[in-house]
Amino acid sequence: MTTPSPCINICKMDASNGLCQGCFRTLDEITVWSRLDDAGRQHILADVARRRREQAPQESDLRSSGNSK
Amino acid sequence: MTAELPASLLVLERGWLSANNILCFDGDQATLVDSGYVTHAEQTVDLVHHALAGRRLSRLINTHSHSDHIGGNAALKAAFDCEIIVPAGLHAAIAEWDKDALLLSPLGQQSARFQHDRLIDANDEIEMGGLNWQALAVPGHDMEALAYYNPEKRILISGDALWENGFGVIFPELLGEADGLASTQATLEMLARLPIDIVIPGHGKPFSTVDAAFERAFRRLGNFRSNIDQLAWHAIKVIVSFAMIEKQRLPKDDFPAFVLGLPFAVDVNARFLNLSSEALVSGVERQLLLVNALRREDGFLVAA
Repeated sequence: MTTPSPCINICKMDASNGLCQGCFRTLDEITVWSRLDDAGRQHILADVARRRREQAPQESDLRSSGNSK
Repeated sequence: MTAELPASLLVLERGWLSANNILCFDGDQATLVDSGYVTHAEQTVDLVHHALAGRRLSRLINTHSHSDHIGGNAALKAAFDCEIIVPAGLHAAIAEWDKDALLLSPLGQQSARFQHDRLIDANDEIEMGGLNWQALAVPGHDMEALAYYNPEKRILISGDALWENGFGVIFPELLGEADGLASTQATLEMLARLPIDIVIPGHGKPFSTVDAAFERAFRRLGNFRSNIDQLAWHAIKVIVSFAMIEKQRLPKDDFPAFVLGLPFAVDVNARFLNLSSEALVSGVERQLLLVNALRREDGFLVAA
């Protein structure tokens, strides 16, 4: 089973961080996607998941950072 | 196992709103096949610029003239001053920017006007990526569409004539025009006779499971030919779904007006299905929710 592309049809780069606003991939990651094997794709998806978490912190994270102030 | 594409071909795999873009490298020059949807044009230019890595984009060639394949043409021309080559049968529609013939008005889609520099006709040959490609007429989804076939490496750039799972909506009958179903049958039969190791489709990843793809395509076509209402309903769902992907989200209460504002949906319903407006809207909504093409979120419908 091939790892499917994370594209969600937003396809707009965010100039502030160099990531697509939809799939959180860099231009390089989108460009090479079709040439990667599953391991390479999973690696990108793991990075994407991490960037998503950083971009949109969980509510609990917000609360705990609020409490620490 | 899986056939590999030559290093001279790079597929920029996009989603559904934008068709794939295929870069073909020839030394310090490159040719791009298809350019995506207009609202993604900026990213398309960025992706192409990145992948070119200093090479020059000298040509842009289209498989057909639907909005998800030509939407980046104007932006790519502006960015790279590339020559634009389109299928010969589309000369008038593009030259006159006929929004009905280009299906922009009926489907509620946008594009950016461009002028082509040259035409390519069925049976013409073109060098791309160090390979010689034959332009093949693949009428059906679009009666003027071309596919590009390289017999040496047995690669087919199929546009929307053949996907891993089906093909693009067969429009002609739904628009009250020429025989798209029979043309699709002939197109699939012609393609199925070619030795093909790998297909680069207009949407989805390149695939080598060619026999299975043909089997699915013929079966699907058979269903549509035996029951055109099934094609009509499928087409309405696809077009509403595409429009929602462009829109991304919509207040739930605005959805009926949105669907009924797509001339194609209304016309095809009137011609084939004869559902009441309410039944059309609620049926489309229910089915798109069912297949997760839409989801509900705080009083909004959101494209998934």
